[in-house]
Amino acid sequence: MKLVIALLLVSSYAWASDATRGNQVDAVIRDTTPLYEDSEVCARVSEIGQRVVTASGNPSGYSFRFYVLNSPDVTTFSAPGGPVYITTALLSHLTSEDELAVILGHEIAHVNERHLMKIESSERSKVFWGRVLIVGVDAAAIFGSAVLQAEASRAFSSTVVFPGGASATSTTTIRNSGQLVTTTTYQFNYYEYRLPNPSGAQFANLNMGAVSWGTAGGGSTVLDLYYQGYKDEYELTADRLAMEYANKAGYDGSALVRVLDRLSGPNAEIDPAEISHMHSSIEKLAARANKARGQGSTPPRQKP
Amino acid sequence: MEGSGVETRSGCGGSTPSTDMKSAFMHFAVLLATVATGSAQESPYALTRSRLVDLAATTAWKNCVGIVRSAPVIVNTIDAASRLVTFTMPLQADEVKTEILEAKEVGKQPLTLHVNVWIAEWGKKTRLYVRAAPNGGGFFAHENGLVEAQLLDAIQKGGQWNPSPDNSPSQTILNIPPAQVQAAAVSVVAASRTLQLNTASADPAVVTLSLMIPSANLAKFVVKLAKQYYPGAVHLTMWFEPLGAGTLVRTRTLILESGSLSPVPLASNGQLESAVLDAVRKRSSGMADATVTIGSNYRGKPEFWNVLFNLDAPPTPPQTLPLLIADLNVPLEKAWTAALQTVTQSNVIVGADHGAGTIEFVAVHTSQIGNKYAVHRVTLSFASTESGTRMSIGIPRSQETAKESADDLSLYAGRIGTELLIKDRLYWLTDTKGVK
Repeated sequence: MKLVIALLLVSSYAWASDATRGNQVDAVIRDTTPLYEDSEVCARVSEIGQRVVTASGNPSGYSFRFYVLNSPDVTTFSAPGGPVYITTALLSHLTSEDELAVILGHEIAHVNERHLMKIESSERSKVFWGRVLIVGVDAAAIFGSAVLQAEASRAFSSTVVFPGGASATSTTTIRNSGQLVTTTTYQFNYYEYRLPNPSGAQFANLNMGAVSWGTAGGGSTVLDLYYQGYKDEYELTADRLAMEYANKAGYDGSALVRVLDRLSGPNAEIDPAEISHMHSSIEKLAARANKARGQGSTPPRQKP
Repeated sequence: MEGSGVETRSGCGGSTPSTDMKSAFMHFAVLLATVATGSAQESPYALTRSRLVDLAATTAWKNCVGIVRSAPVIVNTIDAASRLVTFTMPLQADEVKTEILEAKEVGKQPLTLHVNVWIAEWGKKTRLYVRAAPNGGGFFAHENGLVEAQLLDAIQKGGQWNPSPDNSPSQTILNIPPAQVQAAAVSVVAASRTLQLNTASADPAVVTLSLMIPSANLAKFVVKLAKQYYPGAVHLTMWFEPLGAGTLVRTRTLILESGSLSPVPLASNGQLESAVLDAVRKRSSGMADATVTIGSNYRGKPEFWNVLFNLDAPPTPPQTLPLLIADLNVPLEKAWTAALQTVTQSNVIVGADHGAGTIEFVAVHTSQIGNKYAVHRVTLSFASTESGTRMSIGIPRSQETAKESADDLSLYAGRIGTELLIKDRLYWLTDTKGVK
């Protein structure tokens, strides 16, 4: 029994690492949205980003890399393990390095805090335990364990959306006899770019493709997480850390307030509908701006 | 625990219900670990698609052509003036396992790989760009970076990549130089009712043609065919290389059963290549009426591989050509480079002719139309004007809704426009000197 528990624990670490997941997300994004590769712009974005990474302490030692996406969507996002993306559209709405530093700092904070992996982990656990049940019944069928059969003898159904976009609906019905019946239907619902947007947000224009692991069919996927955005707690944490990182790096962390005001305030430069590209709403951005304003910002360290 | 299991296993050391339960748990745990470990898809490669090298662009291009020529691939387009080549190849099951992120989900389903290679002068350096996109007919999978890294290495170092065992049919044509034989091949395709020309390049001398073969005739051209449910789509690339005063013609063939969602590549028996090469030889020797009569002029549904090789039937009734025209205040060369910069990264390019100012690529997306997805070609045309460049974007065989077409057109126009114009708005980033 101890062995079972130990193996369960070990197995729980066998999910893809942050770096692997980041590489997967990166592959999907890069296949669907071209990079803007002007050497001067990219070098500056990368320099500023790396400076903020250093200021953050990079506690997990991730290999941060910064990409500028050629996209009309006003957004920035990151993937586990280090890829950080900012669009040309968002860059064009910024006016200073301070603003860029704090925007990148926000994404660096999401990566450092493993926000996406934490959410994915909880989502994946549903699939994982589903598989435990399947395997359990399989084992029960093989070894005739009445106990295991009793534990696992119930219907179980899951839909898994694969990272290529091929969506396989796997309905597994487990019968009391231990017999396992699995039918798999491929739904080719994904193509090179532009997806139907499950949450109604406009992120589809960014051509995220099916960055989807874990459960779907009503449950969340990693792609859904991008669509839905992080929960408020994570966003506020990332805002707070971004300001800290920026200040430590010699930038003005309060620039976050200016950016959020510019995007959500009464004189907002962009159409409110575009706010959804930031996986947020105008109200949420305004609330974040107020929160950041309330936190104030420690004065920047002396600039090097 | 009831039943005969205990008695049967008692001979192995006197099992009790308790030990039997332990054994079950042990096996369960092993199974569990196997499932869990198998769930982790480790990808050791960070995607690297471009590389700046201290290598003359002309040398890199020469290396690149050599690599593509020796690999078992069908050339989709090759444009020496742009230093652009794109090609298609089938992936074997073991390659899927090691190169594709979704290998476990794909299983034994056959995939094809579509590669864009673009070599450009980049300041004082040369930029090598490689993008490999695996396709399963109904969906694009994702390459894990291995193929791209291997190709970049090979182009940079001048090595080989995935060389083909040279058992493909070839033919020597004496006393006629490659350019002349290549021209003869183009004229054969033009005169043959069933053949579709997909690539025609004089330098390097290459022709790719495609044709459909009715299901009843397919067995004549493949090594072994168990079933004949579908017509075959044949794609043939011919390389014309100098050999003394004459030409060596090397062929690469890809035969797919058209109509199957995931067609398995079929091995050619050489008959088709011989027929085509025979007609080319005759044309080269002055027989102006030599043609190929194999195949049919049937054209299929607008599915990925049909569209890729121009074997899709035009829509009925004919659709209005969705067209977007934009006047760009930049020289043609700059617009051309911006277009390649955006399109090579996210689409399968099937045509590029710098001289004519045209680029053609395949676009695929979900759609409101019957199939729930739309596959079509998009053409970009560039022409110099007094104020700069006129860019036209068209979708010649559009089979999507008007709104989808409009979205398509604006997507590509927006990307190219951004590539050209965004930097002016980033003066706050690039005018400063060094990081604060």
